[in-house]
Amino acid sequence: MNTPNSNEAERQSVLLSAIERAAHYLPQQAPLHAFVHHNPLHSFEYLPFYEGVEKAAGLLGARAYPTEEFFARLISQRSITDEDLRAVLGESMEDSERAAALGGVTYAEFAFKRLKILPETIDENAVQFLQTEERLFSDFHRDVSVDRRAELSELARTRNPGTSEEANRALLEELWNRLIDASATLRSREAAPQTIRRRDLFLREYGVDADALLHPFLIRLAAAYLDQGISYWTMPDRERGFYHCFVALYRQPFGSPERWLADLSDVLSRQHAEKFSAQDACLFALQKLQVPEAQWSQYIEESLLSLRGFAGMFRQLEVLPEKAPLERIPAQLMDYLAVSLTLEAEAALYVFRENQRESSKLELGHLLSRRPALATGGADLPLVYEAYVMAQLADLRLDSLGGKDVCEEWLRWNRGLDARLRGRLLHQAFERNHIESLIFSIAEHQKWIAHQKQPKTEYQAIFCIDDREESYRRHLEEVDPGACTYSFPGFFGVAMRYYAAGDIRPRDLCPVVLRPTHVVRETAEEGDSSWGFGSGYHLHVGTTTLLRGFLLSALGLISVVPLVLAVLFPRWFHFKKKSRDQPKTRIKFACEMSDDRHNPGSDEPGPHSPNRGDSGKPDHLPEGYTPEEMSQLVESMLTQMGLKRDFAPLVLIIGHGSSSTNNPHLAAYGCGATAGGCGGPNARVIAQMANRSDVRDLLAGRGIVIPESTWFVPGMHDTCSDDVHLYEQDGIGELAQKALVSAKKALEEASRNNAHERCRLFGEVSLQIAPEKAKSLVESRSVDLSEARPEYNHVKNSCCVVGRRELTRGLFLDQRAFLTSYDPRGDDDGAILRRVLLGSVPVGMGINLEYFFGAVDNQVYGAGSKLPHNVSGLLGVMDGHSSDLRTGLYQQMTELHEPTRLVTIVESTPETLRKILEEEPRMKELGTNGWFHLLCFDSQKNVFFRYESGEFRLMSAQKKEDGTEPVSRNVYQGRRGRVPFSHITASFEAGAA
Amino acid sequence: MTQVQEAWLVLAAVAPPFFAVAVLAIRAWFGGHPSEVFISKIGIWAFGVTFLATLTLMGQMLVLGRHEVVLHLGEWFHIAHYHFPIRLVADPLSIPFGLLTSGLLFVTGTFSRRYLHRESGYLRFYLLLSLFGAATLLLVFAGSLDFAFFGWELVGLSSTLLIGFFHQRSGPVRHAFRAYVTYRVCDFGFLAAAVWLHHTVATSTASSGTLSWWTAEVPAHAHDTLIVGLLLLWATLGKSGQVPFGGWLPRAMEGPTPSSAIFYGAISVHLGPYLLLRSASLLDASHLVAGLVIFVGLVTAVHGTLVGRVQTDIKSRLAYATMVQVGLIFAEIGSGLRYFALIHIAGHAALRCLQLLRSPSIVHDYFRFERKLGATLPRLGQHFENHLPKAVQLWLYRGALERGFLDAILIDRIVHPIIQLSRKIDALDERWADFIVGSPGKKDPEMPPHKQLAPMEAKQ
Repeated sequence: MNTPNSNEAERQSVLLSAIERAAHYLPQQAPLHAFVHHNPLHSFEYLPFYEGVEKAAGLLGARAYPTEEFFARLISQRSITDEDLRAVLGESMEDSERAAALGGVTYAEFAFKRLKILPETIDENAVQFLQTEERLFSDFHRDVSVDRRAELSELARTRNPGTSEEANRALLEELWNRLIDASATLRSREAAPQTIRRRDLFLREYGVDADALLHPFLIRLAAAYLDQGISYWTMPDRERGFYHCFVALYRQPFGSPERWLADLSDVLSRQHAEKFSAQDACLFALQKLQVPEAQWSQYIEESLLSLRGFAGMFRQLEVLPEKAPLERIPAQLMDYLAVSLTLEAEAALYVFRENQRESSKLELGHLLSRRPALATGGADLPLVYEAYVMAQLADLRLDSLGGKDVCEEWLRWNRGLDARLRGRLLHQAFERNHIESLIFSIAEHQKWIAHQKQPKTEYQAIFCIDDREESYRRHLEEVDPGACTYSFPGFFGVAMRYYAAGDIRPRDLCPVVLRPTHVVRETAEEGDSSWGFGSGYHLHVGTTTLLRGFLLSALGLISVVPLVLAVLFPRWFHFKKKSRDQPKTRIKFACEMSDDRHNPGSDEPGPHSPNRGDSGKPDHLPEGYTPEEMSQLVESMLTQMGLKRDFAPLVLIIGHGSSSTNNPHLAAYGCGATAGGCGGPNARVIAQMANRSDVRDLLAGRGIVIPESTWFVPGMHDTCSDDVHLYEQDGIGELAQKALVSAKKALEEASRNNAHERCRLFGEVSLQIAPEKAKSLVESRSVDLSEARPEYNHVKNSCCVVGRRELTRGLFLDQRAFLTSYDPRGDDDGAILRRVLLGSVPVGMGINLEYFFGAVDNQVYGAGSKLPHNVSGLLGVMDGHSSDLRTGLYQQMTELHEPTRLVTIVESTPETLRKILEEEPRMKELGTNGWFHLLCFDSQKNVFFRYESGEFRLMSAQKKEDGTEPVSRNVYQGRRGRVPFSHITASFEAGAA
Repeated sequence: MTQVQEAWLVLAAVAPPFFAVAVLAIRAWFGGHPSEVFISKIGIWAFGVTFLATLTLMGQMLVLGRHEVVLHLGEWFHIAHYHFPIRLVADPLSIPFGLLTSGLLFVTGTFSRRYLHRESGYLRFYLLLSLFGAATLLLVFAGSLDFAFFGWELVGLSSTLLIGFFHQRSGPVRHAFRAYVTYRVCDFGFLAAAVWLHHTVATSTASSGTLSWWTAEVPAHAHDTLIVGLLLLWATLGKSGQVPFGGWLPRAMEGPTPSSAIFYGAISVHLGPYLLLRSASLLDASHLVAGLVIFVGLVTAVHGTLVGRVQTDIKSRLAYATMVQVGLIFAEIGSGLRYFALIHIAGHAALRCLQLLRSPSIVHDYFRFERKLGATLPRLGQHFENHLPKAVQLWLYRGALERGFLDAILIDRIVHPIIQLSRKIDALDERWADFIVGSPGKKDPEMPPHKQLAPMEAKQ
């Protein structure tokens, strides 16, 4: 096969394009340590949102919308109102459709009742169960109103003899039978198109699952190939590729006696002798499975998706090899496909052979050419049941159902409003409600705020745009109205490759869409103070071996001490341990001499240095910034936030990260703008830059005058334990020092209050908890081995406000909002806004959609429950013993999420935004297709515009619930669920006093 | 302290988990959603009380220099020369096992309190955990082998149900079934051993031999000793994951992490050695049995270490590491190091329990190791690459990847023929039935069997 003819070359290219196409649908998640939030439906973004969602659901076997129980809860909580339902129904229907009437009911009324009451839908078996148990006609549906019940009973009495119970029963039975009769002529709902994998065909035909043979075997092989160091022996000759390893291992004689693998050794020996490449092996297997060329693409897609976690991981490590946590591996999706198809052919054909009767041997070709048997006729029972229930619930005149055509039409109405359409409409209604409450509260807030006295600014504090910082900023300003907060994506513009003190691997601290520009190093000021027996690595490995394990386990009773302490007293145990682990450090970020950066010796060492490019050789980043570069970074940050004058004596720059333990998904809790890392180092770098006199001189030349008395102090907010740690304060002036003292006090109290607000989400924590207790509780969660929910992370994220803090200061946004500081004054052409939007919308949208789909169908788009998770190869988690790699967020992270798309409200004018969208086609596409909602807030006129199908349309805000409270605690105290957006007076009052 | 009071302490060391099982089971029966605090408190405190009672009991016995405290609870039945006494015995073997069981369950129960928060099977989990604890304590404190068998069976049941805890997926159910079948096949050994003992020495409630705890009575004839010894060894193979039955052990890591830790890291796998320690007298009497115990243990240790080397997920890696050490413990018991084996069991159980509970930390542990080493982690298994010829390397690696072919051989040579045979019997049976009834059965010969299993569809 090493001399392909032209036909062969063509086949190869078909194969290549098929694999490329299929690769788009694989999960695009990096290994665990580099988890970054992204849209799991990234490959469907070219479609309008709802279309993309439904297409993906069909392809991946997922639920398209949240469950109806979820919506029913929203309706009962009035998070979806009647008005919302009527509005979305109105938009979705033509006038004529709306007015169509049947038995005294208009279609619009029918649809409204259907969505509002959401009676249960049941499957065929359940209907038959009700029939055989004779419970179908025993009473009217439980949701039938009292009036309607009376009306129906009246009708029953006039038509049927006997007691009222018997009459009712006869009426219902008659109704049921009429609907059954009518349904016979109705074409049943279209069946889903059948999949073409041979395994699916044999599963349908014989009830035997070839994947039950194939998957455990393939999982073991693929995991062994990708493993980053859990195993003691790595796969021999791994550098030569997966397919090569596979052939070398499995063409040997004396292999496994498993029946389905009986021919494998022969097949692989032949492939080895003929010097097959991975592509040849794919083609060979496809031929063996008798897949016609026209179906290759679909077949490969289905085959790869059947074990999508591993296939996706091969793909990720192929495209971004530097993302491998410890060791680069030449992973290739083609290799993986060759192995999986070869094994699939063995497994599927084995199942086929085993299920042939001696008497009537069937050729595979015959089976394939046989047309699928037509579904046998018969009533569509679930549909009839729906229509039967709705006939009772909607005010339909039952006597009108005498005519068969009326019954048919009624069934057709019910069929039309199927689960998918209902899901879409209900979700639209929910989003409508959400958007309206949001814009109403912001608009009201502007009126309210006009009556508040602006407090005097004593210090400024810059946070990340993260939704978790919304509450923190609010509490800080409540505690100390002298604080004025700003926000900027948590890498603060410093895209760096960061070597933490003692780390041998750098971490790129910048959004994934950017490349780091410089190398920055942290050095420990004191010597390493850690103690103990070496690294612990040999101890860890030793416990799993024979002889060392013998010694260690014989002495194992010692481990009772950490076991008991860590589980029973996590906080105490951790702080004992931690006190020795945090040396004081400095950060080297500036290059002192201008020629320093051309020094080749300054580049990072090591074979594992990551590089984003696909060139294969590490890119050479300069070490340290020049004063010019530093001044540009500082200028850019200050300009984008609109903080160019009126500097307070103290400016805090506070990055954030999250600490938790026993948590493989740690990176998902980190700062999205530093790719799941911690923004503390970035804050340190930018603050020290802004404190340099050479930088300030350069800035002054560009019109940004930072007074000499102003000092920038960096810090780090741990969003899990709610600790705020401040770094370097040396060189601080007297005035700033004074502000710092009060700031520290305020931060401490804000931390307590923020912890208290967060505690209301933790189901097992009492709502009456005191703030001090809440703080120690969240601290304990951050170090507790047994905590599956160290924090609730972005669980509430649902909107993003881009604009001045004045818009939202003192507005209780319930940790729902990403807040991005931006001042539209003086940015008429939108040049600054454009950068602001590019910096925050992609990050926010990635987080938002990851949560959205993780909550809609956690089994498909998420990682399922954390409880049985088992780390495989340091790359991903499996469910228990042997499953596919589970990607996405685990269930405990998303369980409280209410999926709405990111409502992005930008303080600007429609003209400016329209211009920016023209310049940014990608953002325009996402906005037009509705993967996020784009709203424009004109703060001069206090009106909102909504971007819909390429245009900004004026919105009218409806009156919604809101309130005014002295402090945040009054708003949420005693409540776990949704609370109304409210105005908080404490952020202003003390300043006015 | 009178002997009566001591005897009640024994009851306090066994009964609380039974009480927890009863309360939780009754609560589960009535449905609804009892609060998590209520459920976990009952589960955790039952083990706390047990632990304290056992500790007190141990103190008493040490101070008073007593080797054995017996609590007679009566007799179940009495036929001819067979009687079934219900009695609990605290002795230097049951006390350490009791402490280990209740102590580790207390810790694991506390761990699960938060770990399983909002899990819909919260009550079920604590119910099964309590059942496991109760069963283990019954097994450990039982004063006779027949009585211990009840505990042995309940341990198997709770283990199976916890492996299949996430029964909405097929993997856990399949693997639970596999464990269940393994248990049943091996439990036969226990039952048969007890019956044989009664047959030969009329009791399984034995006297103390050279050890300070009671051990099984040795039959008078050497061949009886051999049979009973072999049956008991057979019984231990399943629960302790020894060759050739060990395949279920890594597969059992399907339940929530804490249940995996307590069963397959800590307690359940060590019950095989416990049973051997109880029948140490038989090992002393028959060198052949003792030799076999050593042999099985060493073969398992070698098998486990080879296969464990290529495991790439942390729980399988730990499962095989556990198998290796339990194999060594078998060898220790076989060669007479009984007290050392006890220390080994306790240390090993504590170590694995901790390792499994913090198994999700493994990703960040590796980065920490690197940081502390200040270099990339050294490559392991070098001697394998350096000293073995390539062909052997490949074959060994692949053999390890396929778990020494043990599973395949078991399924292919034993399970498969049995299934074939039962299918044939089934077909014969059907033909016979048709012959009697005089008409062919309802089954449509053209319909594949899996489609015939849906009576609902058939009715339409």
